[in-house]
Amino acid sequence: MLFHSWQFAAFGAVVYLVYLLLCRSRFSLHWLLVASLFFYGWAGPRFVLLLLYAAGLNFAAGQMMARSRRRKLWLAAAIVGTLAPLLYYKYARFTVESLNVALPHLGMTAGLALPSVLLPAGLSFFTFRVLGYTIDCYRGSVEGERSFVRFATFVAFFPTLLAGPIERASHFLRQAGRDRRAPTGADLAEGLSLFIVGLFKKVALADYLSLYVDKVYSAPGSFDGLTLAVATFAFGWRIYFDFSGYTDMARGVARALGFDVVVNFRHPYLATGLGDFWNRWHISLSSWFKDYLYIPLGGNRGGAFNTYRNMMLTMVISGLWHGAAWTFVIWGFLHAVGRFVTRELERTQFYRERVPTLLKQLWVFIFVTFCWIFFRATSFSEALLIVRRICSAGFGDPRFPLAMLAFCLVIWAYQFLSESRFRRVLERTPVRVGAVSYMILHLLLVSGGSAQPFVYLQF
Amino acid sequence: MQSAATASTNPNPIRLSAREWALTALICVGALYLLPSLLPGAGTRFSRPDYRLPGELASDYWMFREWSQESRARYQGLVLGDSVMWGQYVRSDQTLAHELNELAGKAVFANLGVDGLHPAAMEGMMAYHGGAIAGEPVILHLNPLWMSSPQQDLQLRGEQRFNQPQLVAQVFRRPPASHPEASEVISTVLERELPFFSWKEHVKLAYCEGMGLLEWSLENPYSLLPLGPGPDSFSADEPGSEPRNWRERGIEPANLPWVGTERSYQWASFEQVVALLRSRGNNVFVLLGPFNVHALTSESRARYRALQAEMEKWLEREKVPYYAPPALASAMYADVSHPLADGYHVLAGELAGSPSFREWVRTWAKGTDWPARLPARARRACGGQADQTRKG
Repeated sequence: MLFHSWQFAAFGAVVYLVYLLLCRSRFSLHWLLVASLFFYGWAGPRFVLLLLYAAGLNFAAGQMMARSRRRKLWLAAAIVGTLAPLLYYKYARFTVESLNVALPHLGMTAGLALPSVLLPAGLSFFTFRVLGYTIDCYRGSVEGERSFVRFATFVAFFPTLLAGPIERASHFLRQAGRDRRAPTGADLAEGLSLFIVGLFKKVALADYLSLYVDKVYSAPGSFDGLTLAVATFAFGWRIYFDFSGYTDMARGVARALGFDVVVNFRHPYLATGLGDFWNRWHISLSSWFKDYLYIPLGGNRGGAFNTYRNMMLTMVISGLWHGAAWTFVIWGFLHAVGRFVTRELERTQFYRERVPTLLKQLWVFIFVTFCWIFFRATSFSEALLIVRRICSAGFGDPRFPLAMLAFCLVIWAYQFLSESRFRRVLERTPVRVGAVSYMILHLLLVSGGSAQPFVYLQF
Repeated sequence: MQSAATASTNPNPIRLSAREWALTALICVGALYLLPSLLPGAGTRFSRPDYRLPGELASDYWMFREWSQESRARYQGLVLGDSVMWGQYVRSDQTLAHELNELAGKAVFANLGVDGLHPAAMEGMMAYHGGAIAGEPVILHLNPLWMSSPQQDLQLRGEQRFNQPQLVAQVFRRPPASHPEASEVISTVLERELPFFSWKEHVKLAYCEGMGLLEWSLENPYSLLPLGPGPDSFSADEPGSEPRNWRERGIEPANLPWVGTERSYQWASFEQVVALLRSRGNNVFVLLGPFNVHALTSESRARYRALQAEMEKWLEREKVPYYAPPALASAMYADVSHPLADGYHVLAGELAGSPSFREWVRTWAKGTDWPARLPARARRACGGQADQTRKG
């Protein structure tokens, strides 16, 4: 069930109204849990069991760690038991494919049968959510949750279930505790604002840009270098609007229900370095990797080599988290290299003080956009073809719609403005009311046809 | 990398309070009603003689509304029906409306035929987009083709495509063949109830080559808005299909099963159309056929005759003036239901000469000499060309 569908509009209205009635009773979380399971089971009920398995296993692990002295054993059991479905559903096919390519080079027979598995929606997201909880329990930063309903609601909370943000247990469970507050009219107004902004990003911008991107990327060999470069530029904005639009809608729905969900994007294309970029892009994932992988690996302790090794491992695994393909590994690798370079540059006084911020932002944007080629291409060879053609295949008329370009530039300018001292201009009532009115009218004018799924639902 | 604790400041300053939401709602509702008036009026294009809605705009209900408003002002009567009344195989100056106007010596009837407007769709068209013609005299055509089989009668369940699905009932009394998704039902209801949405569809069909605005901008990358000639770029002067006789097309006589009036969804819809029009004060005259019975096997022809008798019986019982013309000569049909130019010429003469039609015209065209000079022309037009398989 997509946020931008009539089904969700009906579902959301029913859930909200019933929740309003129940919010002061002890059954409010029961209701949210039932609604979340229904939401998850909408496309295929069988994966609800997988969700409940992950919730049950980690709930039990949290309980046992509070009682038992064999905390490490319970932690290991929970990690293995939680990661197993993710590894199977997401990486079994990729592993077999890779083995089939690699084994003949080692003089061994290949031809292993490819497993036919369908990746359950949101698996990567709720796996990380429950693992974060269990690791926090092990570290003692979170107490083992005693109510299974509350814990399962945290795991299955429908606004963030399919594509994040990856909520931390401490943040959510505190809000879902006994003293949780009932949603107010202000929550609804703010939630609606977030939802409309997200809907506009998704339907009016991301889906619009995807018309151009998909046309070019479906046959990259038929387009000249400039068109491919423009399509890559468009894809950079498309994926940003798509994913941040989803996040805004998720945060808006949660907000209307009285829950605060973490910010996941903070104008990433204004980043001045790759480290800064990851502080602005998919923040809940990058902070997860930092807290549960990078720091346990040693973080930036132990010298430059260890720091860069840890950074490289984290980024490559982050790439692999996004998709089970070598193109994602290379995407992660490139980002790691970008981080090394910007980290070293930022250590120099010249770069810090003399290079204009705009120039830094521009080069980071160009680098990130270049990396998107590997993210979007269907194979490594296709990505190389695109890179080659961008460098050598001439400059034809890209036929990039003026309206698309105008939207990208306006949003860019808006983001610059909102990070500047002129932000208060954007906060004035006529500007906000005018912007939301425009978004609604624009949506009414361009919407229609079937809803396009979100890019990040495939992860 | 950033820790979760610092990630909760919102970068988005666009947040509205409840009061600001109310203001936004007011602005949006106002704009929804103002936006459609931004396009230039359509009045001038309708002044062309023998105007009919272009085939490409058959699903443009905004245009239908505009044309029905305009035709009410310009004409005394209206001809309503599907592509048979529109004139699929003839020029706009060879249709039934034109032929009747020729006989009258002036433009009396407007051609409000729409391609694919079967009775179930006609019911929706009249209910949601036909309010402007209330009180007008209407020749309402029934093409029996729509009852020729369970498929045409929208009886078959499953994936069946049919004409004008947005016009049929969406929730209650839905035809068995219709399976709209929830999103389609909602868009259809919005298009029916809020003029903005039918205007939006009009922009898509008339200005954006049938594409959505976004798809259109992809095809026209250097234009920001579709400001082309719009509906004027479509011409409906020429035939919608090549005017050839049905035999030349290779159509063989078919054993059409026909669906009786007591079971027919289309007939029930037709009854609803008649009732709706009459409830709005329309003076309704029904034209039944003429169906190309030459294209039927003898068994099928017998079943059709029985069906026609049932329909006539209902019309008589309901006191609806009607005319069921005899079949035209075989050479005058382009297919099983559409006449060629000669066919319309003969049909107009027969219709104008029929007592029921003349009586009907007399009820609303008082003070004109029009019906009085029809019979001679009608006789000449009929002059032995019609297949006398059945007397009307």
